[in-house]
Amino acid sequence: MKKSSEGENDMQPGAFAIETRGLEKQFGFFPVLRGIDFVVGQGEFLTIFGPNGAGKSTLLSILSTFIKPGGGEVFVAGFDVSREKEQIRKLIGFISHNTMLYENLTARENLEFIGAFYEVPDLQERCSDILERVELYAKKDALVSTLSFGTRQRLAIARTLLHDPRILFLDEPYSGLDYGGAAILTSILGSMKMDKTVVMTTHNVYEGLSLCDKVAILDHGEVVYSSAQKPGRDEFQDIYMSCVRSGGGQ
Amino acid sequence: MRIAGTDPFPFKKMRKILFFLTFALMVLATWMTLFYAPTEVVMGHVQRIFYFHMGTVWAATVAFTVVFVASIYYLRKETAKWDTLAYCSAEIGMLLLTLTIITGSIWAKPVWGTWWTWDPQLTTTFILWVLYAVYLILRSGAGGRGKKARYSAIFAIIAYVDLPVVYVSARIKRGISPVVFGPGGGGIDPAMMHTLLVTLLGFTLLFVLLLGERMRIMNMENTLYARSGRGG
Amino acid sequence: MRKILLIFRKDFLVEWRSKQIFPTMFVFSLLLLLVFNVAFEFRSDINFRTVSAVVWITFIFSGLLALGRSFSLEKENNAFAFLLLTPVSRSYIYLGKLLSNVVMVLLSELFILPLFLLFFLFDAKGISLSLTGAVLPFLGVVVLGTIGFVSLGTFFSSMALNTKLRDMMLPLLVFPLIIPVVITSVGICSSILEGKPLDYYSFSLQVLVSFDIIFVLLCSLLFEYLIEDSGD
Repeated sequence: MKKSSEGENDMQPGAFAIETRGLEKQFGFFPVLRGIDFVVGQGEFLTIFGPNGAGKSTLLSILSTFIKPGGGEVFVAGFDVSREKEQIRKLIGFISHNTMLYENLTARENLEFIGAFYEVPDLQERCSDILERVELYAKKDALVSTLSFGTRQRLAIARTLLHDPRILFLDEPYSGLDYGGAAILTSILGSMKMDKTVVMTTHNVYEGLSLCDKVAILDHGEVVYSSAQKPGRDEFQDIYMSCVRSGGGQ
Repeated sequence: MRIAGTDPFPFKKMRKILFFLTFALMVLATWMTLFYAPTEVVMGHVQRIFYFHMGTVWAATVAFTVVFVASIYYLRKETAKWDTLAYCSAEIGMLLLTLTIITGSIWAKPVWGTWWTWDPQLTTTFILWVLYAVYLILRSGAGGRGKKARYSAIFAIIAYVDLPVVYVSARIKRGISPVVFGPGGGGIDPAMMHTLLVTLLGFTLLFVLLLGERMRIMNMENTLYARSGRGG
Repeated sequence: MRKILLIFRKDFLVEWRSKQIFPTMFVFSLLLLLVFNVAFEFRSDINFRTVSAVVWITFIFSGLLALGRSFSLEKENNAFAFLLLTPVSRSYIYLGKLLSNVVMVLLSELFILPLFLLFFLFDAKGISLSLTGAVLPFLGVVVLGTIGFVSLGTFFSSMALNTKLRDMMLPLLVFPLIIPVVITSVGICSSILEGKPLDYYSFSLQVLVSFDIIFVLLCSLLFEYLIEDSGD
């Protein structure tokens, strides 16, 4: 399922998938991220843990060019997030607990509309394929407003995979998913682990650890723990508790 | 976005010099307006208010141009100092424009026989005033700091571009009012010209002085706000 | 261009299915018509200038109200945010949305116009004569004037939504800016109804067309800055 057009829709050769140096962000006068440094190599799967309000969503929003960094340098696929947004946007996909679908369009219309902006070749066919894959083909002509939440979430996943992104950002993707949806998401993520870079945020230790290669813990806008190996679940639970507590909650 | 706390006048001496220069020029302008400039033959003494009228409208124009330029820079650079500059300049511009309207009305009553008339200049001035009033309302009601700065910068740019169009369209229906000092005004007494130039210069300096002081206060406010706990 | 049409098609489809603009505009216009009629007691002393003014005030008030509703719907479930993640130029998003809004508002206006005819113009003398040659030019001006106020209305509806005053902010932002549209559209429409030749209002027409071009371009350039999220 590789793209036919090489070159333009590709990452900078030899670059890390994601690289941040001293990334800062303030909301008003309130610092949300205070100097984040981390690197994710191509094809790696990083899970970022952290309590609510730690800055996880803000971090992903910056990486996916949603919001601007306040300070420091951020590169995605070798491109600068403040200057080369267009190139980055072609390469990334974003899934969050917020489905961001058009309620008054059908499932298929939602896909086709978004797909057209990525210039996906053979869009019609691709839409059908992807709908099959998330087991939604039967509901392709239903208005999104009539679909259940779990179904919408599956459709959102399908939409994000439409243009075969090289880098995936997942912001609490499991929250709100029904059992079937979670299984589909896990199987999809598992099947493409080989050639995609994934950054996922979650506070669910079980789902967060099952797929990842690397972990990091974010608290109060700082990386308080990171490891290039996947720790055991019990071990990690202890690390998490000690890190987050020492970060000093409110 | 950084909370820059830079002083627009880093050298104390410069502030002092500017202050005394402005003071001296304003005193001189007042004296020239009242005693040096000859009495206008047709309009009489009331014409003397015209110097200050021109002074305020000129300084207001400068102020709104500063808002426009600072807004463009803000959108490009997103540094707080450009936003502070735009906001402070808009505030002072508003003050000067209000003075312009008041002095204009005082002058118009005996000369045109009415406090207000909807001729192109006055219509445009009126809309200018409304536009920057909206600008200030927008600032007071637009959520976070970054959003507030961005929205008001965008509005300021559109408003500034809008003004010439408003002026042209206001000319369509209404008669064009006599321009007192303008091309074709002809035969202005040199003493009147001197007075006008000194007044214009005086008001320009007054604007710069007020702008600098307002920005200093604004920066102090920001620094205080950032330190007062919310920054943690 | 293809992408603009794509966005237009989507916006139009969403609007068509959710039915925000048309009912809002239509019912609000009817109400305004009633209010104007009661307030002015139109009958014998009807004049074309007043009718044109009433037409445009109705269009602009009801149009802006509907635009505000329409955008708040799109924002509700964040679909707009996802669109921003795609590598499509922000100017295209604006232009597509503008096109959809213009078409929608024009459709509503087409339904409202006959009511004016029914309520006001039937009483005017000699109207049946001048109207035959006037329908097409009149509709042309309606299109141009609508582009004028919808361009800024579309642009600022997303800004107004993010301020504390919300729906209240939209007319505040847009009205002072579209004064040229009001002046020229009302002027041209009344000239057409009076049966004046093109020469009589060609300058107004030029101003109106320039307004449309300037602000469609300016808004599409600035849209990127408007919707980019600074996070606060």
